[in-house]
Amino acid sequence: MISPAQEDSIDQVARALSDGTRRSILRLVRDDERSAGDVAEQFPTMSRPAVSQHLRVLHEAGLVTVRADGNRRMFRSRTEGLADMSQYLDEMWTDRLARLKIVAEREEWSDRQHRRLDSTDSRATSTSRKRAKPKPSEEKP
Amino acid sequence: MTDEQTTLRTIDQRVRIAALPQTVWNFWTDASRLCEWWGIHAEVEPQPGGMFRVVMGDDGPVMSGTYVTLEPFTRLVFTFGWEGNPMGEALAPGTTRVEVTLTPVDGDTDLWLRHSELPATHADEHAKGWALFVGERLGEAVANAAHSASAAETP
Repeated sequence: MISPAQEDSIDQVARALSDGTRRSILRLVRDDERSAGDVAEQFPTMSRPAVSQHLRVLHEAGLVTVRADGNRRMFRSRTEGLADMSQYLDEMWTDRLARLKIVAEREEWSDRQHRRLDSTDSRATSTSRKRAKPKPSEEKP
Repeated sequence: MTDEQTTLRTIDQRVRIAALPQTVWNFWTDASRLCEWWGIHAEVEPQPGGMFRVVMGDDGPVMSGTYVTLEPFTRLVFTFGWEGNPMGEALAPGTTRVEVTLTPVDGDTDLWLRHSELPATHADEHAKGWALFVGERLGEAVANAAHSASAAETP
């Protein structure tokens, strides 16, 4: 089960990832540690404060780590930050597929039961027909 | 930069269901059937490009996507995104992809689900926790289902 604290974390991660630029930044700092300036250079159409703001959101969501290197701030992705969301989806599918299994099997069994009842009905009819048959022969003699 | 594939992760799940593929299929394309296992409300247009929306609970997230491929009783592909909490706007509608494959095996269905293009990293780091989870939860679910099936069998 997911704790309320984890849900908050999921929510924060979700918001952080809702933006295409932030997803691009995350990919950028996945393998290499990069300075804020480095990151900003990759987004020439964006202002430096705007890039800083994106980095701040990512940091608050726990998706990147930051350390000071002289007067530079160095960023790197923190993969554990995504664990909660991945866990949520994993759990969701496990839980829902287990339910799907149960309801689909129940449906199948009730279908088979109906088919069995139907065949029992037709057998009953044919039996009564068989019983009815001798009657005319009884009338013969 | 490394290619996007390595930063996106995939969830793979497999479940064997003691029902025919056509029975299982309806649970993915019929709104009332979807409400028996996935959500409390569903809106579906089971055709390529058609809407696929599932409200998962009163306070639960809303799955929003579209059907992409429908090969009756064997394969279903749809896009998957969230409309509400707890996932916020991440996985926006249309951003991830779910593929469901149904294979008949001795009168049962082998269901394989692949949820791909998830914005996460390092699939291997997750595999351990996932294996543990499947071991516990699926085992339990299978045992329950087997129990109810045998209960249904006895008149």
